[in-house]
Amino acid sequence: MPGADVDRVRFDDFVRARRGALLRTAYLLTGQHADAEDLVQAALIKAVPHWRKISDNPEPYVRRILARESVSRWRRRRWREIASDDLPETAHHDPDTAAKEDLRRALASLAPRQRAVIVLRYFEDLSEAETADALDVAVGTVKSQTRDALRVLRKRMPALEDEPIPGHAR
Amino acid sequence: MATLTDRLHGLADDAPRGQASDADALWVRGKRRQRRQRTGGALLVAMLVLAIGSMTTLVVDARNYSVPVADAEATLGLPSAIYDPSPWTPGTDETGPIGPLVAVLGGYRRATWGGQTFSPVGVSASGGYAFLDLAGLADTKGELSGPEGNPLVLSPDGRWIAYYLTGPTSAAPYPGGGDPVVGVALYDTVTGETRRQTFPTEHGLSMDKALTWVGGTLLAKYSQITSFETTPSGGSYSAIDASVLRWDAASGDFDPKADGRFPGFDYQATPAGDRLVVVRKDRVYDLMAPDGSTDRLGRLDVPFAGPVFVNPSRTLVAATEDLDGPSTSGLKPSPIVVADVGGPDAGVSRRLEAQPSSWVVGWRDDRHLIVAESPADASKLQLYLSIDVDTGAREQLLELPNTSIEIQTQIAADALTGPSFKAPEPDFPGDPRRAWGLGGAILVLLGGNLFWRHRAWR
Repeated sequence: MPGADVDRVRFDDFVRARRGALLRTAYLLTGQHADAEDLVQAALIKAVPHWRKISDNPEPYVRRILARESVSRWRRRRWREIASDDLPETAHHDPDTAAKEDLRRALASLAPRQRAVIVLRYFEDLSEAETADALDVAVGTVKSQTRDALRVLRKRMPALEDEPIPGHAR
Repeated sequence: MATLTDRLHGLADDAPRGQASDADALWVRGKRRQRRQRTGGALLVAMLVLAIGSMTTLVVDARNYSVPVADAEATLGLPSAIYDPSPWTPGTDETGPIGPLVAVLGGYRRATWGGQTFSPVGVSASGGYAFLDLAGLADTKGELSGPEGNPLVLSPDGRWIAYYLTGPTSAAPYPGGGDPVVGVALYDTVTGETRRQTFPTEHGLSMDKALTWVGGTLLAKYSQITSFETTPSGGSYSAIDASVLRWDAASGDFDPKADGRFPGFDYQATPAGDRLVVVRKDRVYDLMAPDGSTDRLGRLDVPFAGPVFVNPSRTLVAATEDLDGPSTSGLKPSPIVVADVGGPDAGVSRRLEAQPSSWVVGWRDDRHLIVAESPADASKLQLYLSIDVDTGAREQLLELPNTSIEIQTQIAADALTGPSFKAPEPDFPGDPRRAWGLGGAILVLLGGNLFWRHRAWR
């Protein structure tokens, strides 16, 4: 099989296997279904030109694009859209749904980089150094962004009061 | 109690499922993006190559302007035009001697990172331009203004440039005339050699008459400044020991006190350079040869101002009539008059048809006078015209930039009688800073490209 076909098959396999996981991360980064699908598509399209180099272990590279793209997209889009802190009211049928909605609102209130830091650190379980590498920022920035983000989340979600804040003795 | 991690995983369960079947479409779109990137990159590389090529051309253009060296033995010709040189034209320190000159003029000169200065420019017999790096050239600040005011003069054959030499004085120099003059120098346009003659002086020399060539002989009247005083409006000085120096360029014979053979006052070379016009008194003139012998005595029937111009066979003279009389000047137009030297009509002047503001430059041949005019519609240009003294027919000989006070445009006297030749504008060097600017722009472009590619890789 020619090299190009092998690459295509591997890409196809990767998309089939990991698309769901990527969408989960993207959903946390964007808070919207449509935006999450757009973000994953954009990350995968951007990965194609480099596929031959990354095909052995593409996931870290794709996730890095995902995280950075979520921040830069917001930068581009903020000139076209008026962001709103308040999400549309939805009916709360049960406590779980209500908690999810609270978290979604709280995440939406964060700056894009803060949200990315929270998702990478607490959902992807990356270390501070890995998070810094993924977002192409300094480790100190990751620390400060995490601290600031957690302050906002705790303010909006008192239930997170016990979540430790980096650099602060509790 | 649920941790933040638990809550995030719970929220992620609400993520969309997506469609695995569109992987093919994503691959195609990714490949299309790759092609666009490659095309963009190739385009950028092409632009860079183009820009670097242009920059190289500019640098080569700016730095490799080669000045053709004129044949030392060739007959001087008269170019159809003299041009304002580029400020980035090289100097003779860089090019070496450029051979006999047909013209000397002043031009603004720039250093790459410096300001601009007004400097003499030589135009070689083969059409090359170079700033003349004359060691010790005195900056006389235009104090020697007027027809004799040049701080340097070109010999009739274009081989030599004589100039005032500045240098140290034993006491405070007279401050009113620019750099103190302490002597005279000769620059050889063929060998590049400079000869110097200096005089011990306390406050500098007063060069009352400008340097004057008579054939291959340099004459200059000078005196010692003995005292001076400065006032808020200027200054004044006293000078004694007026002398005439005589310097034969070819043989090198130098006589600092040639007063016995040359008049101390009221002499002036004809622009043709081969004779000295000595005005004895109003309307009367002698012609003096380089050896000091008087050739002929003449008289015009009208008062005249400035030099008298004698044709090559010494049968005709031309001069500028002085309608104002000797006590005033410049109030009335000054017609050009021509008169026979000998014969029954000797000295009987007849006016030549020319612009009121025109002036005599010399003789092209026995029957054609060269006259300079400044056309009203081209105030920055001068024209040299040949006028047939019998028919009045006019022919344009030379177009040149307007002269400056500090360094007046001079055409070598031999060139005035030499064959005319078409002189296209040289390919003067451009501003080398454009290359630097372009280089900077390329670097910015390159940096921007690298930055963009770096971001794209992310």
